[in-house]
Amino acid sequence: MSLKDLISPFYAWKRALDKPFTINKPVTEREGAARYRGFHVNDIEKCIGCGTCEEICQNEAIDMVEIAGLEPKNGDSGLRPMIDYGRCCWCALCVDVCPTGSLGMSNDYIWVTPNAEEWRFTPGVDEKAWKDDDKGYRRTEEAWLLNPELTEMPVMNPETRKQTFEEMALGFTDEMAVDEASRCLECGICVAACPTHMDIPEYIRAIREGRLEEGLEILYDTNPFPESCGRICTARCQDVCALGHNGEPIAIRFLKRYITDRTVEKKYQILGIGKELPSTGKKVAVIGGGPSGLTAAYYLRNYGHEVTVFEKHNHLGGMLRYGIPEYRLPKAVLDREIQTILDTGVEVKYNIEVGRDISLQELRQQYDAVYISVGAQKGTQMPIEGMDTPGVLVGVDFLDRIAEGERPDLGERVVVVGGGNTAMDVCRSSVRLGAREVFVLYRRTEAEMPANREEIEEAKEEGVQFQFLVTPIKISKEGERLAIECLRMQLGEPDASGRRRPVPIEGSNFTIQADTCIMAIGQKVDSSMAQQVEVKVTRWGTFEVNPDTLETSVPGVFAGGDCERGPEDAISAIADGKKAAYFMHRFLQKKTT
Amino acid sequence: MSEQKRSLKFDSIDSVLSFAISKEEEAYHFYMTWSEKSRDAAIKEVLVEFAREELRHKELILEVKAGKPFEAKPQQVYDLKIGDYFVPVKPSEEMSYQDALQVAIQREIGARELYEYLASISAEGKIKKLFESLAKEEAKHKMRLEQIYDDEIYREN
Repeated sequence: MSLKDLISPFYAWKRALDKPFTINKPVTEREGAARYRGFHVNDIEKCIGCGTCEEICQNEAIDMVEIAGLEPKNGDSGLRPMIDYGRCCWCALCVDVCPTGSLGMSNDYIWVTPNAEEWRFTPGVDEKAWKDDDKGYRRTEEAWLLNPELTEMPVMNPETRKQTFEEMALGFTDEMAVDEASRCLECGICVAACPTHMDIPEYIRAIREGRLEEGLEILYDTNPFPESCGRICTARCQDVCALGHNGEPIAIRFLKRYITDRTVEKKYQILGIGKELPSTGKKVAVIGGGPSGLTAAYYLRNYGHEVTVFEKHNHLGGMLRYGIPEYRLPKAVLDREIQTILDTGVEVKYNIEVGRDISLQELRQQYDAVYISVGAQKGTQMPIEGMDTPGVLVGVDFLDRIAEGERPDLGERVVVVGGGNTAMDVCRSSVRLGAREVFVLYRRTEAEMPANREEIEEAKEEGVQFQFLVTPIKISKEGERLAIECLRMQLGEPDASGRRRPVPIEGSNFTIQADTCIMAIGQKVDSSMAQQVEVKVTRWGTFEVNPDTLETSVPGVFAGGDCERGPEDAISAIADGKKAAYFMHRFLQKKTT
Repeated sequence: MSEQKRSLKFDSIDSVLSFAISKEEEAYHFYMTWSEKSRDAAIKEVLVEFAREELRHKELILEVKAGKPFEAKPQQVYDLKIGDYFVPVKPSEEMSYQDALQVAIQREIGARELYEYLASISAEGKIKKLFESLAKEEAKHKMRLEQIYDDEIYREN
């Protein structure tokens, strides 16, 4: 034994009379390191309540809770994370995964309370001393556990697609689809944003796990137009995707298309199309075979009712056929999707216009319930001089002709008026019809255009030229060409609603020469049939309904889609069709008893 | 210049106000008549709304006649000039909401122009000022209708 070993026990007594270090140097004076992982902070405005933090927490220390005064809204669940510090191990996985970057950790690590309940609190909501701390741990770009980069959809190059109406988006490969599906957090914020509430996280998970047949079933649970929506949906889900806050949102629309692309051959088998359905003996008439009417027909059929669709054209599809050009939605795809619906046993009467060939009153007498889904297919006109000049066309009528297979000669220079999706379809179709120069005139600025950003960008890629803050005031014929007299506008002062409206600039008149001018400023509803059974309509010509059930003022007559809500996207029309089917089914059940 | 404009002569504030009241009454009857004629229940309501608005204008002028000063509320009036380029549209039994708005906007333009003209031929003084105020009031009505047109009809324009 060495001398040191003998002395060392006594050496330990050296500090026996010293004050403990923690008294000499109180812990409150020892600030945590600048990036210490202390109690959480949360920017409550930035947080969207996606619950990814709750999902990743290995200790189940996080619960998403309701907050008084914080209402759920589009893209925000209204919930916020509550953290149980009896469970938290301060690992910061929740911070590293947070899609918005709202969650962080302060460098505060001391807090004493005799009340165990207080050990669970909601950062950013409950008042804590460190609530506004800047110091502490925040996630960095390198530490972010999510992949912000989108898997790009392969598309035809702009020069090629200018020459053809062939579909421009080529579809995901298996690898691309799995890569993209792997980015999904399964937070479900998208489900609430989708008008028909498709179970997006579940079908994306099905892609990831290679269960595409189940994926297709999930799609059809809420939407019998997944092939079309996989191409042309306005994808409100993507607008609110949690990943979109700091990166690119998941390509939900194209993942949907991927499932349908890969299951198309086994679709009937997977969905059991053609199998005998239960029969209730009730008969339903659907007026208008567009997305809303056919969706209602599909679900009503599945409830066991007999369904007859009355269609005024000789083809079904409504605005999906007559409003959307083939380069976005090929007719063959639409046709097979519609056929699937019809093969559940839906009857169709083509070339019959209700209100002209048969009255709504007669349908009411012959059927147990009626669903009106006639769309909004009349183009709105600008009541300016020269609208009847040859060469001036209405956008929706023009698209209708293209859908019927016509390829009109528009000349070299085309002017399109309007800033919505119809205007984009019109200008891009004009490019494909061979117009050398296509101009879009819009009264407001680009920021106010109601058209999808993607469509605007693609139109620009195809050479369409945009003139903002310009409006036509008169159209006349000058020789062989049209002379479109225009005025330049400027945004006025904000009005009472805070909106800056376009106001003409005096003396800014100028003239654009064109071979064709196509007005695409909006659509309206033809509701003249409503008078036949005194169904109430609004001043805009749309059908007035109970918003909870879509039933009109006449019992048993329901209405939905564009003819009820005004011109909107396909997915809203589909959502209405599904909702109407549910409430019509309830109505018919009551009628039985 | 229309016959109506040429034949107008005013020698007192009262005569100006009586004229303005008669114009509002005439507008009220116009909308009520077409409300009865319209075949669409919703458009009937729209036209009754327009008629009621004219009655409110009449009441405002009656108050001025009773001695209340003609003080426009501090409100910025700007001209969207949407209706200035409309082709003339006539009311009909089948008119839509868009048609009804066009008719109303054109009538407000006509009323404003009439008061502006009367102001322009009046000598400086109270009568001229009154005509100017009436013209501004009509411009305000036009602005309100054009805002609706801008929001509802020109949503994609």
